[in-house]
Amino acid sequence: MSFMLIPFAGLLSMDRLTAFNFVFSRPLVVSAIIGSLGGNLSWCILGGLFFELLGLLDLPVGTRISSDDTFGAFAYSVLAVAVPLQSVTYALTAVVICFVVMFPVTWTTLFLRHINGILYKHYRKSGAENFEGWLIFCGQIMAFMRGVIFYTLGTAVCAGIYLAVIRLIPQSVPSFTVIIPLTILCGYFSGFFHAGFLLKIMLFACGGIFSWLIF
Amino acid sequence: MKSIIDKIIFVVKSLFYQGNFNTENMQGTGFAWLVKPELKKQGVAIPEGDNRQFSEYFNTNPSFITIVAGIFINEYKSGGNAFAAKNLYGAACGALGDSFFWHGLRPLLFLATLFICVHFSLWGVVLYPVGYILPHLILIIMGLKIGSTYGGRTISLFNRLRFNYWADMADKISIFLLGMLIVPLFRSSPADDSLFIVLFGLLFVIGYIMYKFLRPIVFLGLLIALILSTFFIYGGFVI
Repeated sequence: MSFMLIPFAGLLSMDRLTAFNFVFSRPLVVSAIIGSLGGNLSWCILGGLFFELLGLLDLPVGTRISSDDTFGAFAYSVLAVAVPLQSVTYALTAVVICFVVMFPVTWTTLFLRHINGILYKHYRKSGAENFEGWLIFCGQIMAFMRGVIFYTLGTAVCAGIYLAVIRLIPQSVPSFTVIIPLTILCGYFSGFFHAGFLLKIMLFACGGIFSWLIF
Repeated sequence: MKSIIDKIIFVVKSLFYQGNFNTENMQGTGFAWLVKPELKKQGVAIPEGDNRQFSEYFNTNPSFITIVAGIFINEYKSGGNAFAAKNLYGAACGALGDSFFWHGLRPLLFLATLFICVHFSLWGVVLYPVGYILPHLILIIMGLKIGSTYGGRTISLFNRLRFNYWADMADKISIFLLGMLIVPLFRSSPADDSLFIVLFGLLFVIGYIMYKFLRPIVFLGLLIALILSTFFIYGGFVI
């Protein structure tokens, strides 16, 4: 399975940046795929949830480069499968490490776009015609290789840090502590929707009451 | 048969057109790659002077690319100002797509998926990609026909379909779903201690207020600090 993950990382990077737009690169989907293949679906989805909640707010509109939540979910899920995370302490530690390593990986997107820009300007200056197909092909290959190299390298870094620091983390963290950051994230997420404040509160409360009565 | 194969090739190409995405011309290279062969297939001659203009700045939402291509081809064939139309409708369709797909549909699907995962089965996760891919592919496949048939009236068509209204409605349903998801989360916290419910309610409001003032990256820093501090509170680091 570990060999399958390398081209999978390349395809995720392509789906995120240059091709398909099929949301296979969304954290929840990434973690579900890796979790179901590796046999640790529930813990993978729990981590994917953190990255998805944060990533949904960070839209890649215009030239904005959103943080690479795909990598975060990929690295976390690989960790969850390879070093079975069976407690909240392990899972939260892995989430924090992947959050941090996510940023250097995000910068590679900027690098990729920069190279794309250089290639475009070069061909335009040279006066060549019908160069677009070649540039598109180069861009796809680079996006694929970005995933293959940086996603796997980043995951290895995450695993190294995780194994080094896990000894330092207390094991007595109660399971409900995972709800604390999740609740704040959900509060942050709720600000994202378009609706008046009062309407928002009403809808939210209605949903809560409905759920309280039904489940 | 040949026209069907041509259409399939066009649709498949449109899934890859962002290959050269950059800050110089954004998706301009991909647009040229998509549109120039299509014009040639339809027997439209491209004058020497126009050739370079195809790959100039262009940006839109990826789900709407074939629609903008259709509008452009329509304008180009009829001798209108196709390059101005490309930028105008590219921006308009970009706004429509961002609002519908990224702001409305994606969070709604995420929450609906989560709801199914929490209450029914973890396999509910397939709803997320399926629910997103279907409208995305429908627009991609039908886009060329819609764009070339309606031309400049395409935006009016989407307004008639109340595209923005659905995005707005998706937001409201999402808030309702968020309420449905959060409350059981509170209830699963340490048993019947009502203090915890109040505490989590407070944390939720703090998160909401943070959205108004903090950028995601700053918020992320605070979140990491919060997780690490819970480690300190419940046991302390073993150093």
